[in-house]
Amino acid sequence: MFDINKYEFDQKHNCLEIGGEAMVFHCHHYMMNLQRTILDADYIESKLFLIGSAADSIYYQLTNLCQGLSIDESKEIAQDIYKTFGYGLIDISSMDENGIELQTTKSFFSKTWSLKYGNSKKPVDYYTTGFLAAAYAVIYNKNLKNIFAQQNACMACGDEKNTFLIREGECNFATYPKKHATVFKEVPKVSLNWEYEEVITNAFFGAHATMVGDKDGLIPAFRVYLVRTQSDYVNRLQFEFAKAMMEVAGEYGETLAGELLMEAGHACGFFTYGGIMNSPEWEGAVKPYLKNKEDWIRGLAAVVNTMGWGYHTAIELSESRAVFRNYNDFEDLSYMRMYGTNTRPIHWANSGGFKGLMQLVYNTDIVNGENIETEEGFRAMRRSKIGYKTKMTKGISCGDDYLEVEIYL
Amino acid sequence: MNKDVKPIFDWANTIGDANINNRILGKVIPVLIKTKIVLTDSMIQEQPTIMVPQNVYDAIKDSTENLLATQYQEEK
Repeated sequence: MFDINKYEFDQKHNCLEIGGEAMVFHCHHYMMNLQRTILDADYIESKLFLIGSAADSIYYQLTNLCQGLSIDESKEIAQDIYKTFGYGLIDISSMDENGIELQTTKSFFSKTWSLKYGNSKKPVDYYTTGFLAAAYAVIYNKNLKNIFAQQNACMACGDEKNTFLIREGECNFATYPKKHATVFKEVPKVSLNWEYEEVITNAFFGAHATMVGDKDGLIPAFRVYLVRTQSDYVNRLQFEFAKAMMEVAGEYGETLAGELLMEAGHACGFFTYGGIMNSPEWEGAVKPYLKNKEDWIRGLAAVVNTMGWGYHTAIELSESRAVFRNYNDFEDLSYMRMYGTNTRPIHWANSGGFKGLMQLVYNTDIVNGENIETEEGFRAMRRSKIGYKTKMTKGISCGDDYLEVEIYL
Repeated sequence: MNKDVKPIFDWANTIGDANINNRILGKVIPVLIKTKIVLTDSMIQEQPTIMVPQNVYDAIKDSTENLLATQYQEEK
């Protein structure tokens, strides 16, 4: 019933919106690293926003997607987007006025948590818990504030399946005020200034629509598992974590939170960008145009500008120093939709990603075909003496025209 | 009595994640704040010794062992 091809990629702003929600791809390395970072801080009651962030975004999205549909059609849409976006499989046909007790054996979160970190002591699929709460609220016209949602068993803990209980009751997750509409920053862009940018970008426009959940509802691509996630969901996780750390330890806590969040972006830059550069698609459509290491970075930017994360470009680019920009980056736009303006840059995922890209190209031998996908490869690269530093200098949510970050030795 | 916590970070760096220093700090930040101690990843990397009160040492040791799921063998 749900067809991703019906949603046109916004080439002007390099983004994709579905049901009023901006959608971005993330890899399992990023998602798991982000969630582990949040859970590590066990003095924060993070369950509230881990579930609440998902519930809020999906409630908004499903409200738009299910307008005018019957209960059965709405259930189908919810199941379809869950699968299409790469979160696994859910069957909510038994959901009724009283809620649902759901079981599934296909879960992105449980599978990839185990893959990356082994067994967990506690259930890890907070996203699906929030998703089901939102689906119940939308389909049966309930207020999110009157829903109880819980995961009771998790394959990441060694259970045979994931189980969830959703019903009316005292709400056990955070709910949030209504969001603002997306406001794009309409300014002239400095392009990559590279003769092959257009041909590469054009080759990949539309490719995002081929990255949809398989029979298990997963998106294995570029040697990682991808999810197409609601930008506001994943970014609220970052912002709420940073806010909670600020409450615990002031500026010290917020700074540490930023470094931890940047590490998740760093892992994403290393594994996903590395996976793209090792892929047959790169070999065929990008590599023939690459003459030097700087071209590898420009080529990567030309590709990822078709994925919904904004428009990436490089203002300066050398091994010792680079200045990157992202016009209409997904983190700042999310921040402004949900929180308004800020006084300090908050684009940790983008900045970590740029740093990971620099490390990948200049600090590994990927340009000569080295395979760098392993966790040990990541650790070795991060421990290398040639470590890049990151300075987040501009952000749209701070009133600037674009995101800007300096990466330097 | 103060104790040098640097060997624990050194040990953690030989077997842990690349950002293990920040992960440990993230675990113990409430204790650090209570004792008015500020530690950062770069301080840990640069300073040869890091003297902290016993309760902070114990918190860092416990959190590191918890993150790495391995016992730290203190040098006698």
